[in-house]
Amino acid sequence: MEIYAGIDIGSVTTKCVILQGKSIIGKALVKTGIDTEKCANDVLDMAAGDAGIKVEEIQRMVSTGYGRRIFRRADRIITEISAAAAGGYILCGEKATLIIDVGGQDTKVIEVNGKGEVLDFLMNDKCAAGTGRFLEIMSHVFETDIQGFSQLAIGSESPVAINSTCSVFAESEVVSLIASSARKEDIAAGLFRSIASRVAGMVRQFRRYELTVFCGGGAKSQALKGFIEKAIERPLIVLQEPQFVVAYGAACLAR
Amino acid sequence: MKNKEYLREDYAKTLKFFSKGKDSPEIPGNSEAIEKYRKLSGLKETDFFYDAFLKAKSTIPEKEKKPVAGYFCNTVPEELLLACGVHPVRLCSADSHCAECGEEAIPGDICPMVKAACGDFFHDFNRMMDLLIIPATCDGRVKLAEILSPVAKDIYFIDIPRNTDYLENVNIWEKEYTKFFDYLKSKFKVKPARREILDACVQTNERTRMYRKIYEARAKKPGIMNAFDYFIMANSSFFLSPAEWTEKASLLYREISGREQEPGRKKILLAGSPVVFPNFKILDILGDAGCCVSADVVCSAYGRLYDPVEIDEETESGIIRALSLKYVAPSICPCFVGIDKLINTVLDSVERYGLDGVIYYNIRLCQVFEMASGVLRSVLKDRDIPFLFLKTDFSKEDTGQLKTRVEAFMEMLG
Repeated sequence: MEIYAGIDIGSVTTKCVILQGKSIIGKALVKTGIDTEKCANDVLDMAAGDAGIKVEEIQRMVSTGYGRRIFRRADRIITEISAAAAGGYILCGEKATLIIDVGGQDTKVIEVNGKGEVLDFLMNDKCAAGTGRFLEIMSHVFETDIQGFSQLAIGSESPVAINSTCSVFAESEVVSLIASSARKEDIAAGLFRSIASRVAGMVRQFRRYELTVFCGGGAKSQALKGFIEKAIERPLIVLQEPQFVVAYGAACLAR
Repeated sequence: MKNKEYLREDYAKTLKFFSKGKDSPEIPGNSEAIEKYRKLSGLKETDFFYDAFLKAKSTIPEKEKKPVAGYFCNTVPEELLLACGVHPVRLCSADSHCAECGEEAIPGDICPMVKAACGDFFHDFNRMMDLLIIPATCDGRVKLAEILSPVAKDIYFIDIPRNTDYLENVNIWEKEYTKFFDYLKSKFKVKPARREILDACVQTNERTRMYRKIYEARAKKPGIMNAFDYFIMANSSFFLSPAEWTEKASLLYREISGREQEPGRKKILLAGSPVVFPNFKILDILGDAGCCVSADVVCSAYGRLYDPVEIDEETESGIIRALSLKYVAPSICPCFVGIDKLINTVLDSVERYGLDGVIYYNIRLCQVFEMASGVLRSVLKDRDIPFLFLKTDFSKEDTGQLKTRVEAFMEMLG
């Protein structure tokens, strides 16, 4: 059976998924470093190792993500929007109508039709507000990682109101909140809620969101999922290992 | 003699930026940009327009040998200036260097086009213009009358109501335009005969006729003339006399008429904020993504050149009414009331030319343009017309993200 690879070169991590026919036989994830092309090659080697195949056995490769053009071995280059749509749609049993992808640098909301084709999409503005990067910066303020930060937020009963969505200003707002002895849990929850409301604002611009899939690194956070669900008054479907959805979509488009 | 001081003299003195010109005849980077787009052209007759841009400001005064009046926006009737023997120059600037200069007088988060219009006044050319005409379109323009008052030789302010309903407001427009015309007559000491106003209308109508031919040809045959050439051609009408522009554009039309369209290209309508040289950032991004801008409804091209003067009654008042019908009634600028007009114009273009999608370009901080986009988006979606909203300023830092959006849009169109 033919073998395909999808490589998603994101701003924070680089992911690779290898498909044989329709099933995933290997995957890998590395942090995106200064040498983006090397990262892409490394992650491909690792995924091939995971699959127990040689890179040469891969018939076609598709690259995506913000560094998609840097990977010169790709047979085809597509945007992460098309890849997320394909990945989310196929993985949820071809029923998705809306896909939310909270990545490191961008947050996207993508509407798909009954064939998994993109009908419309929205992306966040150029700054980090409402993205994974924002969460990362805030978790540093709390001296933890995103998972720890998410756990902290879940423990809150009354989230504080955070006004700044700019990561630089939010950081100083948080520092003054800490100084005013607000509970850490409530501050963390307030931050998640502020991102969730931005994402929800994008979601509400679409009319069809019966079946909404949540993917990207941000989907690993239970707190973020919870606050978005509350804001849009709909449950979200979080796929297993949501960080790989875009790379999986790229691999599917290589078929 | 000044018509009016918009800023008291002792207040004006405190504005250091305007106390001394910087005397730079050229804006840095502009000639490089001209050469870059000229190389991409592939058309012979575009050369004239590129050259015109290179030397525009240094040659107008001696070439035209008449008083020069600068103006902003699209609601100042050029025909009245031409009839009075005045050379009109539209000053809308989109130069990032000028925008930076403008920040000395206009601080903060203000539309970069307004800042650039202000910063452009470090040029001797702008300062020596005999008259600066500012219409009441957006808030930024209105404030410019006051801020530029100390440096402009003379300023005239045209107060246009925000409601562009013809039946309700035609009398107000006629009154404002007549007042303006009277001011021109007394300032330049001329008494133009009715014939001279009609002649001016003939000149701009000839220009419109030629522009429409090119517009139609581009919309029907994608790829025969790229978007850079098109906007350079349209923008050069800002400062070229209508007669000269029409003559050169007709040569260009002849050249593109012989060309074959590029098969299989998706055709896009560009709507939203004005595209003005040298800020072709959005065109660069669209071009890199293989997106073919086949038609537009922006005020720096279509909005400026598409509508003719249609005179029913050849009296002075009849002509002035006809001018207000050309300039104000069809305006789709979101500064005015009339979002239906914007939507209808977009839908008509999409249908008439069989376009594949609409890209709405929004200069950051132009709030009315952004507000209008939501309604347009909703209507287009309802009709299954693909729509992409792009918001940006003159800086380069968000190019990567904009490219991703445009590429995804093109993938979406298939």
